[in-house]
Amino acid sequence: MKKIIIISWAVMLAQTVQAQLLYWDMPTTAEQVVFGEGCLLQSREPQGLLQNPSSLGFIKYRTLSASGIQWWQEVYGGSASAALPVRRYGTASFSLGYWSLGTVSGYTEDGQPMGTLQSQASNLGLGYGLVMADAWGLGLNLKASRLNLPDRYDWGWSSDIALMYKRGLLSGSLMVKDLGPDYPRNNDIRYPQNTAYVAGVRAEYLAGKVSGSVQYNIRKEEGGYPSLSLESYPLTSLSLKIGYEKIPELADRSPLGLGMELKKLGRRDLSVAYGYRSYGDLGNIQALSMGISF
Amino acid sequence: MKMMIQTTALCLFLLGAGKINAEYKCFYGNLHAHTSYSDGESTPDTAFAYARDVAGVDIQALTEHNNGGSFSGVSYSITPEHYQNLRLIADTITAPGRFVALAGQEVGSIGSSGFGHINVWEAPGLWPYNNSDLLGCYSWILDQGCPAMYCHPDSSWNSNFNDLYYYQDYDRAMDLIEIINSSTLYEDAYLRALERGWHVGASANQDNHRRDWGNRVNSYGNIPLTGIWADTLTKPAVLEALQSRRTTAMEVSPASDRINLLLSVDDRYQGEHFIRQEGTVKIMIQASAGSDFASLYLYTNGIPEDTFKVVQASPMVTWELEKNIGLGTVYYHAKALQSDGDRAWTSPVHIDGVSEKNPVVTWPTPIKNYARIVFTPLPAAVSVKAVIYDLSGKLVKEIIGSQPDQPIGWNGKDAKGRQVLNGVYFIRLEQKSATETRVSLGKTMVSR
Ligand SMILES: [Zn+2]
Ligand SMILES: [Zn+2]
Repeated sequence: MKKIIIISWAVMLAQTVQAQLLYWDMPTTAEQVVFGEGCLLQSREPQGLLQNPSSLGFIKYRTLSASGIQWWQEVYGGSASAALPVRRYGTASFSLGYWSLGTVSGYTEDGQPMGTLQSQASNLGLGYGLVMADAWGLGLNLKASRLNLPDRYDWGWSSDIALMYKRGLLSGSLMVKDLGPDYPRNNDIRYPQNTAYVAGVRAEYLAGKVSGSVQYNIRKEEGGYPSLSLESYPLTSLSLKIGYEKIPELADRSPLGLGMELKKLGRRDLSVAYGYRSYGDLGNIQALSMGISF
Repeated sequence: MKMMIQTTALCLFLLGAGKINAEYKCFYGNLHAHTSYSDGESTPDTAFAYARDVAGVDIQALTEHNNGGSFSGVSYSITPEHYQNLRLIADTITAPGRFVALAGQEVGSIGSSGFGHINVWEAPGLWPYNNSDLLGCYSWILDQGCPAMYCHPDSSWNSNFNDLYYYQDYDRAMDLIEIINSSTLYEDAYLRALERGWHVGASANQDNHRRDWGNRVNSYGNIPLTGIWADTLTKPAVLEALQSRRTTAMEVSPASDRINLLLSVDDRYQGEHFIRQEGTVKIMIQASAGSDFASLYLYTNGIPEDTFKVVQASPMVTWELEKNIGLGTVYYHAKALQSDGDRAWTSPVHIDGVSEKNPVVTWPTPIKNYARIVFTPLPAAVSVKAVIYDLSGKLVKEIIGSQPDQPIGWNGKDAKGRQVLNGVYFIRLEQKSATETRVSLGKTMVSR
């Protein structure tokens, strides 16, 4: 019996997982650009919080946010999301994302031009977070995406489960990210999702003037990598952010992400954030996010 | 405009004997013949000696049947022992600069379930025959890394290589096609193979089963031969020329009236395949033989668009003309007719015309299974590399081009051999010359 369990466990580990592109994991917000996966723990901007559902429950105000990202090679993305505290029961979230993958010139096999081709991807996210005993956060995300191609579409769905412990200026989180069936659902060519296991801690110092997080991301196929994030407030309403994350298969992506944010603007607690990261010869990405709480 | 080209061509019209000016010399070969090792007569050493001393050819191949076939209950398929022996004899009798003997095998069957006959030369092993498995055969040829040819491609026969259906994955497997085999003309099949997409060159052979290796006269009263353009008469140079399709198919009479027919497009010879920016190309056709030429033809995509009538009969003719190429693939080949009825065909020159506007593209787009990455070539480039990324920037696959100005094939799979998912992909193309490195970016789409 024990043998069988060990063997099936080994088979599970040996199963080839394609690190396929999951559109819901493409960054659209400024903090995702700066921190990468590190934003699961580090992020405080409303939309970033939605990435890790276990921190959802700690949001006590209604928040709305919107982001736009300029990707390389004429690709653009955008997203909008809302968090809504449901009295006593926790906080729910809802998000929509859209990617314009630009135009591609069409050609026949022997090189005759065939006009231009366009494709888009759209994402939908639903989340729910609970806080228990004022310290434990528990959350679930459901995510779906659809890729439109000239003569077909692909779709799939996934989920995240997360747990957070928060005490004073310290927080720690465990998360299982991208847990779901083979992707995409409606194509013969599909692969198991590359589920990631994420663990990390975040700390604040100097009454929140400096915060940093250390996180480790484990994946079956490509192995693990750390994400390091740091944010500091030289002025009350201005923060500077820097993220370090070297993902092995993203060979051309700079390990450093940079960004800044203006916070607590106006009576509605408006924030504006900017993020930047280089992809070498491929180009640079930059995103702008705006958030409001009320 | 066409008149002007004709006039220029006439001015360049040359008289008199002499050698064609090129870095290659034409050697004459018979690439298809049998002995008693399969269903022919006599033995390999006798056959090679006859071809060399009596027929006076430079290159003789013995391509014994390897298909498990039998006749009246007696197998005629070459045995592994005989094949090893044939290779030994061919190596022993080959004398650099004098004579090259090739050990070959004719695989496949022309029976009801067979795909046809394919000649393979100097393969390390014997094909484990499965006469209905055409793709298996292509893949075996690629593994062997040796030149191969479609034999007597008759469309009225059974499969005829699945009607010469083009499989991009196996493009490199096939190098030549017989335009003439002993008595039948297969020019239609040559044009069809090219139209289908194959990059195959011209060959004409005798398929000897009797003691006439190298000088068999066909039903038109001519001797079929393959002209092979190599820098030296050595086995490696001949095999390289065959794989580069640097060949001319001909049928000649008398035996001494052999034809040199060389086609060049922008100084690239028959058999070559390269990428070029759209615009004007310079084409030169040089013909020389022991007797006079009557006319030359330039075929564009298999159609004889340009004709050159030789007004003053001459055994040596040079025809120069210019053609405009646009976007996409175009291929040229030349044909020569002599006053005495002898004919010759060159292999094609393939050109992929690209525009500077889109420096890196894939043909086709969207990609279903296999695509060629086509790009604006860097002058004097020595290497080219394509790196494919997905939308997230993940490195999907890195492919080194085999030639700096030839398209790079991509089978739509990642570095681990898995089919990539649908979506947009980016190509970073890096070309290097002695003085410059040029990086260009392109975008493509996979949809299947
Ligand atoms: Zn045959
Ligand atoms: Zn034969």
